[in-house]
Amino acid sequence: MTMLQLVTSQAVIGSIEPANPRSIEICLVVSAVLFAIGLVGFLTRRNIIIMFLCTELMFQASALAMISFGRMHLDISGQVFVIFILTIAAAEAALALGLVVLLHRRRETLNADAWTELGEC
Amino acid sequence: MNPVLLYAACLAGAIGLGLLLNPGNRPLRLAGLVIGLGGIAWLLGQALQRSAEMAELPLLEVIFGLIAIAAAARMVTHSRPVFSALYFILVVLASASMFLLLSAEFMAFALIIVYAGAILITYLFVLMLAQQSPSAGASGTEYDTVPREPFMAVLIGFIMLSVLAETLLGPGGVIEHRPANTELIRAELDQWRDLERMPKLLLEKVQEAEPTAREVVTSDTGQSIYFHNGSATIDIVMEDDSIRPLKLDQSMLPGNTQRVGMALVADFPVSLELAGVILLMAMFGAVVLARKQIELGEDDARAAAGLSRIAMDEHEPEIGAGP
Repeated sequence: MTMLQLVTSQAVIGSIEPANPRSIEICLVVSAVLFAIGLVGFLTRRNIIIMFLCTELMFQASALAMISFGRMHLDISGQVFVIFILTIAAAEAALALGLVVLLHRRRETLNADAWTELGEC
Repeated sequence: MNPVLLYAACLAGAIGLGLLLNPGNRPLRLAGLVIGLGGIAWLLGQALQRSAEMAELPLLEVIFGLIAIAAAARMVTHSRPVFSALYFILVVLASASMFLLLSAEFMAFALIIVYAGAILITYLFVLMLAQQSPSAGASGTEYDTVPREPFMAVLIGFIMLSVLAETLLGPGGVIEHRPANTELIRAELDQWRDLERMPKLLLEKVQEAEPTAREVVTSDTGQSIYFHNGSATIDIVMEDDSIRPLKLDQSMLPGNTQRVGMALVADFPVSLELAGVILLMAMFGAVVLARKQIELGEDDARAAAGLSRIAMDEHEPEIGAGP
């Protein structure tokens, strides 16, 4: 930590711009609202594809929160984690859509209620 | 701030969304729109008021946030799936612009390319592949128009939003925090250290400022930048082998993309590898899921073993009937 103390005593403060606290707050509130909307959508919609889309909306909200917190603390790791969120979202989309196509071939419907009993059919 | 008011705003938003979930009832939906927008606007206003010092009003953030929320609400309530997907693209675009405003340029464009460009197009393809018969009519199918358990879902959403809003905006909330001077300095130090870990870039930037520089003096521990009199300084070797110090300018700091790449490779290498493995496994999984069993001759093997055929194109087995 000696380097930090040394620089603290000598550095020109303000060369790195701190985040505008109001804009961080706005972004965090928006991400919270988006997450809640995605949750409600996941619970109410009965179309399988739209249910998956709502999970993507929740991914989006958490990515926004991560970027905001990263900006607040001036840390780059928030953005790195968003890359991993994108990876997971892409993997999930590929698998989920493969499953949906398979299910649609069997029952000709996207209704999630058609699949309430899992079993051999 | 009074938490009851906070909950009331969340409740207004939840009621608005709940009313919007009634397809085909125009006055009810209009009322839901007004109530929900009122609640959300109050929440955003509270977020703006919390900062005591008069920081600059983030008008663009508010606008893009409202676009994102409105598009998300419409996506959840629209009765036609293709339109839902299109509204989700609008959400992605709005939040990408918020990423830009939060100075995360690389992630903003990666989001547009990967999400709006790749993932959403796949969703649209599958939606059109699984298109309902045209007899379903303009208002969509029954299961797309009638929501499942709207009251309970909205209640759960209200609880979720209240908890989040309380955590963010309530007394002692997480964004009470202001970056202290030490944090700003640590951030700047981090950026200089990132530049130090990219010696080629450092030399390029130095040669832009000082064309006769040959190389940068690096210590045994890999340190080349040191701090002197409040500014970052390096020692450079000139062409005539003389060594002189050079003050580094703020504009030489690495950009967002360079820093993200450096952090990925240097700080999170194992996670990067794991992400690659996850993508590979997802690809295998998708291939296995989408393959047609009939092409592999599995049905003949099953018939020989006395089991029922599983090919989907021909005899669909009766639902519920065992083998």
